[in-house]
Amino acid sequence: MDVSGWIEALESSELAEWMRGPGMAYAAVNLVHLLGLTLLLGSMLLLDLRLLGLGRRLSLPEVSRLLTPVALIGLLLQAGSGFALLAADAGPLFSNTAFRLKLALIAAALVNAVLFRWLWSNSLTDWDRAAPMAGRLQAALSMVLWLGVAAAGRLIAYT
Amino acid sequence: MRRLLFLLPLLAALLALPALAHHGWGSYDADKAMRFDAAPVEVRYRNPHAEIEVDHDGERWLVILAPTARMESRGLPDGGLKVGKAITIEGYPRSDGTRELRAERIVVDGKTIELR
Repeated sequence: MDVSGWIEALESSELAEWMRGPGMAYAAVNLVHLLGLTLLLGSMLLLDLRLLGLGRRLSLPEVSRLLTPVALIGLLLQAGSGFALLAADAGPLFSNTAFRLKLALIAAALVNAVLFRWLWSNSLTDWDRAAPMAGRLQAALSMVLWLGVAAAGRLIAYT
Repeated sequence: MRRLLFLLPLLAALLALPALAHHGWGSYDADKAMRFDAAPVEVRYRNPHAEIEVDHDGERWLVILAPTARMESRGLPDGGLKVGKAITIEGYPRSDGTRELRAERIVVDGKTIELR
C-alpha cells in the first residue's frame, strides 16, 4: 500500500486545488465542519447522558430514535467536509500528531457505537430498570471519545 | 445524580487533553521572537494559510502567513509577495527546532501587515 502516493494524489486533486484557492471555499467548508460537529457531538452527548441516567422522564427508545439520525447526519457532514479539509493539506496533516490521534479516536468511537448498537439495541426499553454495566461504561466511553475527537481536531492548529 | 458522579473522572481525563499542548506537542516559542529581512525563494498564496520560503542565516525557513482572505483584507493580495523581493519578517519559531516560523507581521514596501 503506497501511502505517500495516495497522499500526493489527494493533495493534487481538483478538490484540493479548489480548497486551497482564493475565495471562501476553505472557510465555507470549515463552517460545514462546525455544523457537523454540533450535530454529531451534541446528539451523542445527549444520548450518552440519557443512557447514564440523566432525564429519565424522557423515554430512552424515543430519545434514541430522535438523536440517532441527527448524529448520523452530523457524521456524514463531518466525513465529507473533513475529507475536503484533509485534501487541502494532506501531507502535513498526516504527520500532525493531533490529527493522527483524532483519526484513532474516531475509529474507536465508531467501533464503540456499532458495538453498542449490536449488543444493546434490544435493551433500551428496560434500560432504566436493568441497564447493563458494560452498556453504561460504553456510554461514558462514548462521551470521552467524541469529546476527544473534537478536542484533537481543534488542537491540530496548535500542534 | 449519583450515577453522574462517575462521569467526573472521565471528564477530568478529557480536560487534561489541552494540557498536552503544553508538553512538547510542537507549537511555536513566543519567548524566542525573531525579526529579520529576507527575500522569498518561494511564494505559496493559498489556504489554509499562505506560506513563503526564505533563506536565513544559511538555512531554508518555512514562514507561515495567514489565510488568503485575511491577507487580502490586511493589504496583501495575491501578487503582493514576490520571489526575490525582500521583506521584513517578524514571528515565532517552532519550539522543536524545525526551521519553521509563524509570522506575526511582515513589512512589505514599508507597510506593516499584521497577520494575527
